[in-house]
Amino acid sequence: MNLRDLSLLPILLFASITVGQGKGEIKLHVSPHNGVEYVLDGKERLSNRGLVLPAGDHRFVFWAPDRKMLDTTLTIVADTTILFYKILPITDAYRAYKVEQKRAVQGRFFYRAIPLVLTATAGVFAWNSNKKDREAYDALVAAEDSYNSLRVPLAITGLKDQVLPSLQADLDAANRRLTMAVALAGVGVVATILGFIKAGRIVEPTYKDKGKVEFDGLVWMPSRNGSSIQLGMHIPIR
Amino acid sequence: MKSNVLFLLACAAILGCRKHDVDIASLNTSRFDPDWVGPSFMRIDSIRTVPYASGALHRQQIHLHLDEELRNVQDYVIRVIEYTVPDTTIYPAVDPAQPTVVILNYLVQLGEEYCYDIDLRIGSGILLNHRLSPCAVAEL
Repeated sequence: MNLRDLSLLPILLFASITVGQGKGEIKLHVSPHNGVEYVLDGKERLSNRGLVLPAGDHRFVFWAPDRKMLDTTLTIVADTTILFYKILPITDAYRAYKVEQKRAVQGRFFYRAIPLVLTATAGVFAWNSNKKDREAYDALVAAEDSYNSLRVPLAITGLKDQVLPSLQADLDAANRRLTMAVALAGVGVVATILGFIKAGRIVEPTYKDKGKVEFDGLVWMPSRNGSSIQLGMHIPIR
Repeated sequence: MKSNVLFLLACAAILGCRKHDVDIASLNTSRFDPDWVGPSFMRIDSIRTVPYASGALHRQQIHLHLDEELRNVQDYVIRVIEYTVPDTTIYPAVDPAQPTVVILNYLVQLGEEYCYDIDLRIGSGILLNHRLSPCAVAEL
């Protein structure tokens, strides 16, 4: 066991539980708890947390999905239980993949949601403006129609000098507002279409866990004719 | 792209339908409008000179015919200005039960010509464009 390996051992606790003559027990507490596997002495691929091994040095290669492999040698002491604690750090490639994936998801969300919200807002604005415009139009036409039924000159003068110009100004303002709202909605629709096209072109990154391939390749399986090596292949399925 | 064009055309159609401009200057088709330029509500049937106070005095009678439509209006007045002897007479609304002829009486001297401005006002005194300006010589 070299000094580098020693530095990777964060906690080693010794307990006084007798296991058997010339053998010791090791209890592994390696995070993440799910999916951790290890290769013992380059031969056996295991995942159980407790082992009884002959006293002496044993090589452990720990691996978990998306985590860095830990290749270390642990010394088993006879009649002693060793507790081994370690957290396997996330690989840089997986970290980069998550960043890229998050960026892709955020990009898709941005290109879809922002124009959609803009269009919806402009649509509500256009609908409301259309309603106001209709009301202004109806009021103006009604006032104009009332001209012929009025029998009071003062009322006719008021209608022509004040009411009709005011209602005309209201309708003109409502027309301008509606034009702006419809233009905004049109821009929103175009932006939404372009946004969805753009979002569809964003390619989500794929992740290949090279550590798994490497780990799978470590296992040495005995056979009748001697030995064979077990190879692994990682195919991401989405 | 086609749907976008249709959407924009629909919007343009909506905007086009709601466009409405009132030409206030041309709005003068009501006879109750002070800007009315058509026939008057009033028409002079005749102007006659008749003896008065056992023949010592004479007066001119203007027989004014009022349009049937005006009789539905309760608060109109007829204002008459006589120019020879400046005098203004206000005649209140005619009783709707009465005939549509109003007789206006003025003291006159035989042989003189008298001119009148007869105006029509409705409501709170707005002058309607229904003025009549007859002139007549006082003669039997």
